[in-house]
Amino acid sequence: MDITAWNWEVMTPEFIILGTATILSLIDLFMPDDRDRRFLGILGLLGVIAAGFYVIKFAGAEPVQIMNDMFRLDSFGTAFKLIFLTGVALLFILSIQYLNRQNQEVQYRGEFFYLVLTALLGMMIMASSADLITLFVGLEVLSVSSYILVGIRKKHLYSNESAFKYVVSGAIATAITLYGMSFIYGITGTTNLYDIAERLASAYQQGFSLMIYLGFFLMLVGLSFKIAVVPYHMWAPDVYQGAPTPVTAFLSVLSKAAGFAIIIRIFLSVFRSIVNYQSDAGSFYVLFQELNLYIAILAAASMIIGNTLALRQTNIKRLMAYSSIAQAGYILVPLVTFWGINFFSQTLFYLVAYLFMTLGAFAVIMVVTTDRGTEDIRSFAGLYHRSPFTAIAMTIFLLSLAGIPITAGFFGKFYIFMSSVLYENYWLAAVMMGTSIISYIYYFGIIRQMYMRPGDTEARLAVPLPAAFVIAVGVLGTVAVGLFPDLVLNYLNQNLQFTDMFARP
Amino acid sequence: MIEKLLTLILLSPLLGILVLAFTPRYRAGTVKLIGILATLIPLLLSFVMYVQFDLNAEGMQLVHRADWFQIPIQDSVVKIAYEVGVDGLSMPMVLLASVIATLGAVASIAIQKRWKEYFILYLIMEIGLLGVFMSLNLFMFFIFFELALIPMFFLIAIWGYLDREKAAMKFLIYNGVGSGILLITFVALFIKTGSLNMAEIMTRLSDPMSPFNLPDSPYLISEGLRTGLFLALLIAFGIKMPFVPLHTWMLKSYQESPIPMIMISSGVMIKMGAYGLIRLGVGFFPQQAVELAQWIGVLGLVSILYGAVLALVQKDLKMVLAYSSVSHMGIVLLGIASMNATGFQGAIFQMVSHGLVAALLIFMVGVIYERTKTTVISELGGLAKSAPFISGVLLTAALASLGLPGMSGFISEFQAFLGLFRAEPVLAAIGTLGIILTAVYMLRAVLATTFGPTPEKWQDVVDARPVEVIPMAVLLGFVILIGIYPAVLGDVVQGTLQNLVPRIGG
Amino acid sequence: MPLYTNNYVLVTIFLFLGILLPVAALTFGRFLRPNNLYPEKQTTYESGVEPTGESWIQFNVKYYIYALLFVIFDVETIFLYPWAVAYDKLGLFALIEMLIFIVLLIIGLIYAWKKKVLEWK
Repeated sequence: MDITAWNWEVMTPEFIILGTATILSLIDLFMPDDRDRRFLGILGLLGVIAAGFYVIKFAGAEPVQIMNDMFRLDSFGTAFKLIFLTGVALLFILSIQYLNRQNQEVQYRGEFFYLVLTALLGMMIMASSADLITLFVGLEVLSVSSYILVGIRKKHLYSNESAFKYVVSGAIATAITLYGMSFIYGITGTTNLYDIAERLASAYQQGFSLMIYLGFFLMLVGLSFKIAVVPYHMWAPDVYQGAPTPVTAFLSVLSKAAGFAIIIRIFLSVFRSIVNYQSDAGSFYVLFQELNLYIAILAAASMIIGNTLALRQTNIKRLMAYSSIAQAGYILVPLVTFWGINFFSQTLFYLVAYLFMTLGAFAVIMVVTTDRGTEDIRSFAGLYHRSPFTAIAMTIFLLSLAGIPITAGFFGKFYIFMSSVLYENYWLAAVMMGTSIISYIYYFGIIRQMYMRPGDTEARLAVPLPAAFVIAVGVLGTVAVGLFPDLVLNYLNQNLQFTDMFARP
Repeated sequence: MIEKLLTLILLSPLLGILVLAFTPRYRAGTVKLIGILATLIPLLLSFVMYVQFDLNAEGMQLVHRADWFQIPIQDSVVKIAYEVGVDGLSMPMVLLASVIATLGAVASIAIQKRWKEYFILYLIMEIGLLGVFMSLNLFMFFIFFELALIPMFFLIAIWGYLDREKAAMKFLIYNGVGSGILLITFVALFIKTGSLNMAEIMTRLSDPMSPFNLPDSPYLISEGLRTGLFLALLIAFGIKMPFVPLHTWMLKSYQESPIPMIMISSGVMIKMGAYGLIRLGVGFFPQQAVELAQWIGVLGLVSILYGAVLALVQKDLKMVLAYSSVSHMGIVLLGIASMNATGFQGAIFQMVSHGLVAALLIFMVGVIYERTKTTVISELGGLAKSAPFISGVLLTAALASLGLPGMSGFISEFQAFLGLFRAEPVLAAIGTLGIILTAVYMLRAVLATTFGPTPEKWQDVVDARPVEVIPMAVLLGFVILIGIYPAVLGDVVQGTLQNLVPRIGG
Repeated sequence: MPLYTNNYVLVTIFLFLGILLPVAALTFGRFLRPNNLYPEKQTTYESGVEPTGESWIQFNVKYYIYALLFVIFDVETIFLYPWAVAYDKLGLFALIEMLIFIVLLIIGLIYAWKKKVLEWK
């Protein structure tokens, strides 16, 4: 138990975030109530940037584990952490604008910033641990922080309703996840993912397949809560609608990405090595050739349900919720093929694209809905005449979400789509294509409002500087990554060896 | 310099977009002028391309390649390049696109609002149209295919007539489905052959010694898959062309789109479908095309007759033209179905010819609408007295459309049917019925507009203004030029067809 | 395989017993007791005090927060006690861990204090 022997340096980003969150909470506590708290956001931003600096510094290094794989630094975690940190940085810039003094709805402004940081800490743990317990603790840190964030508009009726729904459904999902984990632990007697992988493979040969399947399904269902896919998607519309817009953006981008991180980490590590030798059709990998069917069904159901229910929405945030259910379905598609060599590039590329386009879209939504005082889609009417650049930016985001060239969303989808065809999952590819076309209807519905409908007012829409910055970054990211996918793909492939996820140092 | 010519053509509308972006929006006159001038640059460069085109050379010419990006697929890294080039099949289409785009811009003078946005979108769309015909790989083909689609949606939905948004939505969804099927096919082709380059795919699919054709090879692409892919391409491009029963979006968009958009749509955009079908469908899967030729012929026949019969009973001049487009694109299908050199030449001639004639006709309808505010045939009439020039051109265009000798329509229909009579005499015989019907519905519609007693309200309709005469003159000039000297197009097409036809055994 | 699933047989037996016992007890009670109902018997039992008002009333939220704080520090004591007993064997690692634990709790306490949770008004 010599703690000095461990390489604590690899946890620097986590320590920085933890430290920043603590300092922010103390400053907030000892500061007079009537002071403007936006500088806390700037402090938090600095912390995030510092953490990002270290993450990039460690990128590409050999995997390092400390505390018996409770924490491990590998390329998989690094990639996800970069996404998280970029997202939170943009989110902070956006919230500095949102939490101004005129906003009477959020009384606890300091809390907002450090709760986002603790949530970020949870996400980072979820991305870089190889132990069920630590992963679960990370998941809970994220969940509890986001429950509070959703309800941070304390006097707002919808906010309360959504926070309550989120807590209750979240708690059930957590319970299901834990129950699933308990089966896996019960069979193998360890929480270390690598040990589990070894023992699970032999346990399968000894006939414990039923227990393993049970554990798999329970964990799949429980974890599907975080990424808001079928069967655990129904909370999303209510919660997205009730949460303050920056928090909605947080849930739909970052929390979802973290969910994917933990799903990929657990499923790929744990179930990877199970082989069925006894089947009539010769031996096959259980995860890649049998269980992936169920993930495919979830993906297809999410795409269908998300995209069709979005058609009938009139509230922009509910619409984005259904859209995000569908998007999560798309990101699940490479997971179905699981062991495709480009699996990591595909998933991460889409997440990067999704980050830019969704954060950008939410920045526009925030500006427009605050200005009009309503979240109805009609609040976008005549946006083009009020602020042409905002409208064009929103158009780009929507085109990207719909998957139309030359945006990042198109290439991301194209790349995912390719893997699906490559592994002869034609039906899934067809579902993906068909539902994408259905999604045109509602994405273009917003575009119609912006360009073709007269709004209640023709007054110029003032876009505050921080929001404008986020929108600009979103546009730049969406278009640049769409035109030159190399920018992201090369970084991923040259610096990060994803397969080191399976190597025990 | 000359090897970058195509890239220059492709990017030249960007110049106009840039200038427009810095032009004040209230200056309608300046904006329109810049918009029209901007389309002149690709037009002029296209003529340079026509001059530079080597009639005797084989394969793609004026090719310009550059690395774009690369993606890791399985164990290998696939390079996706920017590559443009033209051959005898695409060169006329590029020329057609830039001609119609310029004339459409001239016709856009009648646009009533938001000129700046209009012309910016118009120019983006032109890039898409030009790009589709120049692309040498499937990835670029698809991107430009979509790049033409999205601005078109806006152009219909903002500047169209009363029910414009619905029409635009219908346009978007139908074409979106088409693009979706197209993307599936492209990705499947890419996965199976490992290449996105059209020429490479073509050789890999046809070379009997390639692993994709050897019966025991694990990479074998089975007959069934090939037929499936061919059918997928047929449907995807069939929506674009469009043939019956996939044509309903076009009717709506004819009704509601602004006139320049119908010019572009019927002049160029639906030709993208036919072009894709010949280049990709027949080019990649010649054997399947031959096997299914009869069915393609039947589809064409149905389109011809259905379009012609319904055009007979339309009350609206625009709808007559819409159904006539369906009918005329049927002839393109018949030409393809013949699967011989004459038929193909007819199909390509018909694509160009119909592009010119349809654009002219719809332009005339626009000119009339501007003066009378109606396109309903029964309300019009007797325009020959008050506007003899307009009526004259309209009548000439109608004659070109029904295939009067000496005009481009005659050459194309003649060749298409000549080709088909050799291959499928029965289909061809029934198809000629459509030609006769064309004469009937065209003359019915046009004569009712121009002749007869002139009603009180049309007594002082103004005749064509100089700015309107230009497009009429140019389009008619091309129609007659091809009609009396078909070699101007035929020589260009010949070289490429000689490559294509042996592969289909015709 | 049989060894492992046997554990679940035990769990199932307990589950059944758990359901069976109260059902059996209540059923027996129903048959054994004399059946003589009058209104007072149906009122809520509140240690002999006359029940007043509805049972669905709101409690002051401060009770919850107070209870939460109590539980937290109660658990802290439970953690600290075994740690203190085995301090010699655990060494530096446990000391640092415990310090982190206590510092976090102190921050929580400061938070509660500044947010006026400790004042009863």
